[in-house]
Amino acid sequence: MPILPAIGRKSPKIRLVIAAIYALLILGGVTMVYPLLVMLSGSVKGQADVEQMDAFPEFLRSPKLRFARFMEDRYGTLTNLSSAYGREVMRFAELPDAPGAERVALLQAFLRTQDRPPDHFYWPAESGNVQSMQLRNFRLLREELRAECGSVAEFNRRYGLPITTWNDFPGVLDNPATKEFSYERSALYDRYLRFKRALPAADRAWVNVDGLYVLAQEKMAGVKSGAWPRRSILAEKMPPGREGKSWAEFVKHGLNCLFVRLDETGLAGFRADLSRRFGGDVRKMNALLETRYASFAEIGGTLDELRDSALFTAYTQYITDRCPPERLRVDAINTRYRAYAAERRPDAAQTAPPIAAYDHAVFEATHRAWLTEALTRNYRIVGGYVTVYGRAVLNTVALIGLSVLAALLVNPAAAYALSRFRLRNTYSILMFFLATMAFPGAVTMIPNFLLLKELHLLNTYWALVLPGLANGFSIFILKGFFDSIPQEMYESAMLDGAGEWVMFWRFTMALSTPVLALIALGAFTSAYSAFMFALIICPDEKMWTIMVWLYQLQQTAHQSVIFAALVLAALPTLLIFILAQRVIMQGIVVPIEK
Amino acid sequence: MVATTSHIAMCRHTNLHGAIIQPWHRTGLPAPRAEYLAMALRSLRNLLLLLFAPLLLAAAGRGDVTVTVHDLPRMFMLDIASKAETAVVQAFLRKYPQVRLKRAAGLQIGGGSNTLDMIPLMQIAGDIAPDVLYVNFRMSDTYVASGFLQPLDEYVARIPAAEMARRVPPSIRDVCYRLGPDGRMHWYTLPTSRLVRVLSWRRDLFARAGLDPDRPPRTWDELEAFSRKLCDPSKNRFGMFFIKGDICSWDFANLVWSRGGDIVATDGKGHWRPLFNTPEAVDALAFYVRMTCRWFTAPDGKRYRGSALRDTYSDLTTRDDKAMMFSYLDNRMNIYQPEMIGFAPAPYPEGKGRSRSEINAAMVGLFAGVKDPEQARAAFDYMAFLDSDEANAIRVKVYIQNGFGKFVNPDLLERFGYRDYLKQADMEWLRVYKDALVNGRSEPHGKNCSVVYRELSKPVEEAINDPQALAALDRGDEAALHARLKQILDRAQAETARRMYGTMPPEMARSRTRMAWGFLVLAFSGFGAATFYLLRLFRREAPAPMPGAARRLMPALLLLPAVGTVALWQYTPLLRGTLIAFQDYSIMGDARFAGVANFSSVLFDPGFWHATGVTLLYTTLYMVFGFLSPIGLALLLSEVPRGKVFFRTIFYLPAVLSGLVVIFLWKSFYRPAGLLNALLGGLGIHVTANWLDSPALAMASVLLPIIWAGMGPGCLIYLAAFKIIPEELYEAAELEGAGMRAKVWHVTLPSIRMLIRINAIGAFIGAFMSSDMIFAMTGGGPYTPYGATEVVGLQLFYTAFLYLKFGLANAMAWVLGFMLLGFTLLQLKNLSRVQFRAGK
Repeated sequence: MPILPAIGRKSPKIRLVIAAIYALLILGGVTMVYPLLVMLSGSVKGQADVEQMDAFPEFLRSPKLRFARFMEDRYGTLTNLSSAYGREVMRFAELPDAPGAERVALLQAFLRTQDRPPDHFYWPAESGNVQSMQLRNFRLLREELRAECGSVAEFNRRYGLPITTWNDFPGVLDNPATKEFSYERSALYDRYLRFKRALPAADRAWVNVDGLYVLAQEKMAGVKSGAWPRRSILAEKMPPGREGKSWAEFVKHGLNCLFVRLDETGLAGFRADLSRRFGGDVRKMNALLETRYASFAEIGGTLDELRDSALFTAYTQYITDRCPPERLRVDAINTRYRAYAAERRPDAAQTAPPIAAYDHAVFEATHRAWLTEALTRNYRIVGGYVTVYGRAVLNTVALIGLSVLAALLVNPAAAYALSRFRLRNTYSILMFFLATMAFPGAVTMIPNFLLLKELHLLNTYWALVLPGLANGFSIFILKGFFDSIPQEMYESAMLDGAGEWVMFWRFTMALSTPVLALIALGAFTSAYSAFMFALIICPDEKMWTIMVWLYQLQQTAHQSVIFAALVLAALPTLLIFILAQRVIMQGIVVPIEK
Repeated sequence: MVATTSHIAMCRHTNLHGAIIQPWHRTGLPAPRAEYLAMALRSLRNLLLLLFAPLLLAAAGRGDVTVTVHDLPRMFMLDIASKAETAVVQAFLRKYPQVRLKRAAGLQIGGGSNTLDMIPLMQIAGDIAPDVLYVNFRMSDTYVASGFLQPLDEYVARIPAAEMARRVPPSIRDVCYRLGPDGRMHWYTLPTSRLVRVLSWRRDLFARAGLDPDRPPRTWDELEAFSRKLCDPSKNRFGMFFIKGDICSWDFANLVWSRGGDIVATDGKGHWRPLFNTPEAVDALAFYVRMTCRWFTAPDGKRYRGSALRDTYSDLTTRDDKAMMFSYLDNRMNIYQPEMIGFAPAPYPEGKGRSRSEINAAMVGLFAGVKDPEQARAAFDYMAFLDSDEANAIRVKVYIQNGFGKFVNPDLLERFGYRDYLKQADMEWLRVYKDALVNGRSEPHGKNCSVVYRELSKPVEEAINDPQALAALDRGDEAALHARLKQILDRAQAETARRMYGTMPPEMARSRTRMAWGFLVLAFSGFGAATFYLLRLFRREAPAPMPGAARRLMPALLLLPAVGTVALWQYTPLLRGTLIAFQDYSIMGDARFAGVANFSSVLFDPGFWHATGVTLLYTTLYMVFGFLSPIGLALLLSEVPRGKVFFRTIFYLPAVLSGLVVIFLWKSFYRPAGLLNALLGGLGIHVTANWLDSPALAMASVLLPIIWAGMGPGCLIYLAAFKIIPEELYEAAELEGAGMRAKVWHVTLPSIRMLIRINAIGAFIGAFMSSDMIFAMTGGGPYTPYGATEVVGLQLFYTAFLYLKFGLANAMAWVLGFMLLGFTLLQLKNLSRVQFRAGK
């Protein structure tokens, strides 16, 4: 602090100056830190709050938003979320109040009795994989498969998939809320169902057929016109009268037939239908539908049988096109709940199960675990993404290593030659190094690229390293620095018989460590962050560095995943700066007049 | 303007894995009878088989053909569009088992349309272009005229006429079937999807504003009235949305068309000219100005300018800040929820026009570099397959299997046998699509049309920032407004015609050539004199040769790598660039010698001199703020009693962020609802404009992040320099009674004089050539009519990569280099006089 006077520091005037310095620095510091906080906060967001720019994530403060985020993870899509509420939800952040909160205890008690519900009654919560937002159960399934199979090749062999890395693992389609969904018999599905059944009860997001029914009625012409009454629950059997019309319309055309069972007469009708279509020849049917029945009478229409998708298609067609609606029975968590309630709380026997309110109870109970997941998820995703490309880490290390090594060899060598040997044309050579600074880089871009092509250097590390091998300004600075090393040292060393190499390494380089550190840092930063040019001159992805992969990830990933990637990408540079600050400060050389 | 994010999201799906998708044979499935085919297809197992069937079993037989395509769907994404496109590609491979597909090298770069157009050009220049190229309307002529595409005639001939009529409706026929460089008509491209650009609106926001959610605006007057009703700037909600920046004419053109006008004219022989100043265009512009600038009272009782939001592109669904915009509609699948988003014909001025929209298509073409006939055929098979009945049937099937039946065109549902789903289908958008197709205008696709949007955007931006026009608007003086807008468009018309087809009297051309020669003589003798001067200067200062330095080989060996590198990677390209400056250079390799034409174009281009002025302003501002602020910060940091390292680290933080993050953050701060306007709002000043769109603030807004991010790293060297000032100097000054200010002026700054001088010149040269940050922040705009932030470096970039005039760009670089000659000289002279001292 040489400018502030050494004495009289306690005087009000000096104190004011010091206070002003602090105020300015703090103000400036806030503007520096704030964007970083926005980025950190943005890296833990989801669909519901991604638009909010805040330095501290709002969902940590607002329980309402926290619940919205929880529901977003639990249901994945707005359509599924809407079915849970039984009304159209337009945005994840704008959840309506959950109805029927007073009946949650009843639903909980009932669900405790359902230890082995049919697979299609629920989705695994937090199993989405949209825009690289791989949620907890998606990752869990992938990890289990990874542990079991060991390698991608083994996974492909076992399950008949062609993935190239674990990042390609697509997950499994499981959305029984849509009409078109069906289970099937395949190794991957078998494995998936095993995973699904082992999930804890809290991770079961129940399919709310009442909600689906309410949403579907909005679009039925009969309901719109008022000809059919609106109903908030989907009865097990077709209700009499006009209500029956919309019930039949929905059960036949809107509801996945896994939820639709046939009564005895209906089942007999299904058997007869199949028999008619295959001319009474069960072998013919077995051949086409890949089933193994000894006779048509054996067909039981059980859920297990319906996992044969061809049979399920026939089942769906029968229900949709031919079965009389009074033969249909809806079987879902909703109908079972009402049957359970009828015995215990008759007042609740005609109500929809409060699914959303139940979800809220789950949220309260598993709150802490979910929060940990929400805060770390994107970082885990990015970490997993990058480590899968093992080669990228290698490339990055190789490229940085080559760049740093080259910068530390070529530049000091040239500077040493200029400084030590005092060539006659030292300054002409320096000028040669420096004179290109007057020309904008854009013009040399195309010729440079053509040159790389002609030298067949595209898609090699050399294309990234060679053009930047020598840096005129580094040479100039190093030369200046070497000049300041006392000549006497060289002279006495020469008297001792030291060779040129020894002097170069032992004196010159050893004495210049801080400057070299700074040059190395520069080489590190440019090699680490280069990706734009890398894209053009190294199109082969085998050569891509971490930065290029992260850039690649950015093209499709969700914004919060991108932010997490950027935070992680900033870490190495930040760490190096913090740790090497002292050396860097020593390495800065200041030009002064001769 | 197909290459925008919207469109990419809709039609293109980058394959992130670049893997060769191999053909495979379906195994283990009984051949289903026709009767059960539909049934079997509905099963998910088959879908999964389609997606993941044992690709690995594929035999890599001999005689396989590998076709590189611009893009392939992402195989493993679970979104519906990717899934459908994947199934299509898989079906192709099954049908043509000898063909392998490979995604083109490199990856797509998001962001401005300009960068997007640049990548294929680089690929072509580098001989790594895909066999199947993606072609958009506005670049189509450039591609054909430059010989990037080869005619498809012999292949097209094999497609039945009726089928071709379906694929290429009359409205886009002249884009695909056109005059080649050989003077004959050829097929050059095939569409993969056909689009119209109509009005889309958010039903929920309409309902919230008390409007009928099912009733879109039909006329311009209604559009404005609705927009005002929907607009509540204090809540960051606006009515209509227009895209801003150098593609803002994209929306404006839709208005001109609906008014019954056009933006380009063709004489039918392949000659196109701009048509900016028609009465229809003036009307459309007056409407555009009304939408974006007319005062109105918002629900909060305050008065605001403009009920339309001008911003960078974002989807109607991602944010709630806009209720209406023009969007593309595909004729096969609609990706929006009909319950939430409605589609309607583009509004038109009542009594003066009819609803007309832009017609567009995503197209593919065959790269001219494909010589092997077998490969060419395979590539064409792929191009043709993308829009075949077979492929469309697969798309529909995948949509239906995944519960997206209601998003499919009802005609297709019917055609491919899914009558069950007709009930859920949304008939509305299909009707809108058909109407738009009948009345629509195809996007300009003639010679030089690649730059029409950019040129037309300039008068549009000028109009909404023009004080005279705005004053007339505020007075309600329609005649004066129209007259002023006509003036603006007249000038843009003349300017564009000159820029696109610059013709001039021979006398003038001769005198300009003479002047260019004069400049060149001056410039080259200047460079020569400078070199001579420097050599002499340096020779004088050259050190005495080291005694006994007989070993000549050693220094030569040590210098060789560095000298070789600089010679090869800096001087060779520079010399090559110099050669190009005298050529009419084409990216495909043929270059004609053009004399000094490029130099005379640069020297007599008012746009260039305006850009030079902008550059000077930018450089001056940068020198005052960007260069001085690190010195100030270093002074503060060196005087702060405690926490020096802490603050130093804090101020260094922006340097560890990627440049992308800095740009992303600041752009969001400048947004209408961004941080800066929120801060102003806290002070009681309500602004709803984007800072980067204001001609007065744009330059400062571009500079601010640069200064902000450069302060911390920049101050380090001064901190080091302060440390090596001997304490005694300060003590002596103090003894003489110097105050703090005197110490700074008379001790600190003089001691680091040389450092300041060198850094100042370096900063000046750097600032004079910079363009990256400006490109990312404003792209050179706003235009009034010249770009308020279009610096020479940026103009150079556009000239090279957007207008493809490499010769001109290199000539500009030389002129720029000449302007900086003095500074370069000064800098080299300074450097010859310094020695270095390390920090402590």
